[in-house]
Amino acid sequence: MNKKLITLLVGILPLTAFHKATAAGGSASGSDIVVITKEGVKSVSLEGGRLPKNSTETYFLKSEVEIKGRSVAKPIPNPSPKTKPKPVSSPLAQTTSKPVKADKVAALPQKLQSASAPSPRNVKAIVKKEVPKRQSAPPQAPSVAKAPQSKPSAPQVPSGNGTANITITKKSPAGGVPKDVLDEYSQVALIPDVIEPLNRGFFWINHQLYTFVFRPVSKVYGVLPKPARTAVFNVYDNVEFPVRFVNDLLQLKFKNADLELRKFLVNSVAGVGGIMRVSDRIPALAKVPSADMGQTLAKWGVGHGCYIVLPVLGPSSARDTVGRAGDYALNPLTWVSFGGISAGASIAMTAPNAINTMDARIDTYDTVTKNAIDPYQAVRSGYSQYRKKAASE
Amino acid sequence: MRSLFLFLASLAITQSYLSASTIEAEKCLKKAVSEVAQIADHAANSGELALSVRPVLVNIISFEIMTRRAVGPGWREFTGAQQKEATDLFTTLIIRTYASKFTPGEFPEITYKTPISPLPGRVEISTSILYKGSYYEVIYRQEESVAWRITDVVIEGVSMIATYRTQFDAQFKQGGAPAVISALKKSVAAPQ
Repeated sequence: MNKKLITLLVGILPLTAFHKATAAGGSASGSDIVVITKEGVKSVSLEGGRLPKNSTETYFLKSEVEIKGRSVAKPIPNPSPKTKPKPVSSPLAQTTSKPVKADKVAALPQKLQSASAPSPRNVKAIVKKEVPKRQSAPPQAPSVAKAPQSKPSAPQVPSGNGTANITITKKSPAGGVPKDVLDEYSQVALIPDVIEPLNRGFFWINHQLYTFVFRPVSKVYGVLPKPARTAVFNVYDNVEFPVRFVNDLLQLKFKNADLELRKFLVNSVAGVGGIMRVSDRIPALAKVPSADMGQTLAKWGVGHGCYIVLPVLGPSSARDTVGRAGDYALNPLTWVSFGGISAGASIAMTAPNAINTMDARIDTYDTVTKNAIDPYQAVRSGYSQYRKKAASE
Repeated sequence: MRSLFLFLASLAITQSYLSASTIEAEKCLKKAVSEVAQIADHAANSGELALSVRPVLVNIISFEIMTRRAVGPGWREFTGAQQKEATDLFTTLIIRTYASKFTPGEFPEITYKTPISPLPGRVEISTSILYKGSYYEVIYRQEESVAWRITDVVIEGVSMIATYRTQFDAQFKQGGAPAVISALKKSVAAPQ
């Protein structure tokens, strides 16, 4: 009986201790680690600040084992109604940041309690992982962006290796849905907006450009018959094949690269230089996901950096701006432009594509901003979500 | 042996319940999308479409759930009257946004993928829509209340509710429920 109780307490308490220690930004020293054997509790000597290699032992924090020992020696009587229960941090509370009262934990069905409490095997894994990590961590707490007041149960944590570029939130285990259903959408990743005043300035300029320049130009261009516009789009899309192909290779998506190549060959030959998109009639080639350098950088683990509104081009991030430059370099039209032709010829070559895609861009812009409360925030949120999906594909 | 039998039986019951739920949700969605597409095909412009499609959308979309999730935990600080007013205004905005995406005469080709049930009472149906020569990935999130109701639409990874949530957050921090309602009124009153 005592052995079972020890196992249960030992299973719960170290995790609680680590949770508290992490929250406080503290670090544990090597001498605080103990192992429980049949002979009793033994201190573990750390080799170079690390636990012994290939060990199958279960390790615990010394302080927590001592607490457990006292608890076992003096069984706690059932709390009387007048006794105020002491709040304890339970593994259940990890998802919510609200402490769970001891009496509430006790009130849970036994099966649920045992399911929530980590087994000694799990704790072992946690200890082994956490101890070296915290020893190598700097003494001060990492700079964590303060969560907005309306999102109390969604603490923001920085992404790994010190490059806290994208604001992510802790996911709850219940299929990504937090305990508070009203707070479900606090999990949306937003690109940090550290230069918001400047971005808002460019957003305003772009809005004027869209309204007074692009929209009228697009309307005039719209008088061209649809097949002609589609043909122009198809040709440019076909020419930009190297951008997608190289990025597929860089992302190690060989299947997509293969499909892109086939699509290019089919459209170039059967589609007369890409004027007709014959590939749409082949199911395997109809929906090949488009790849770009921003995605590639994301796959390589590069964070977004800050949110940037580029003049004329619109929303972007530091990473995607670099990616855009990479895509520009991979575009054959750029090679021709730098190949000694005149500026006029270069513009004549790229302008039709810019005008042709303008309509779709204005349409997307209108969809996001027309019924928005704050168009700037709507575009920022939409762009963040869209790029998150693109990077995850 | 007996526990194995019980385990398999419960698994089968759960599986059949989930299948029934997803089938029912998918059926509701298909019917609704078809109705809306037909109305859109006959509407002269998006303004007229917004009016004619409203009665259909009210029966298939849970605007109340959408509004409270878009506002977030601050919803609890709204009074009953404020909640109703915010829901009505947000409903207008959502319908207007939805209606603006349709062009009369253009009929979308929709391919339904296998629905998934992320949680009991919830179903996500992914679709691939070919509209005006372009493919779009649209996910319909549905929840079972009185019947299956759409609670969010995610177009190319962009959730309608998440986008509004970002905007409402800023408003709520500035001035609570009155600021949110005022911003909604301003947006609804804006010329289209």
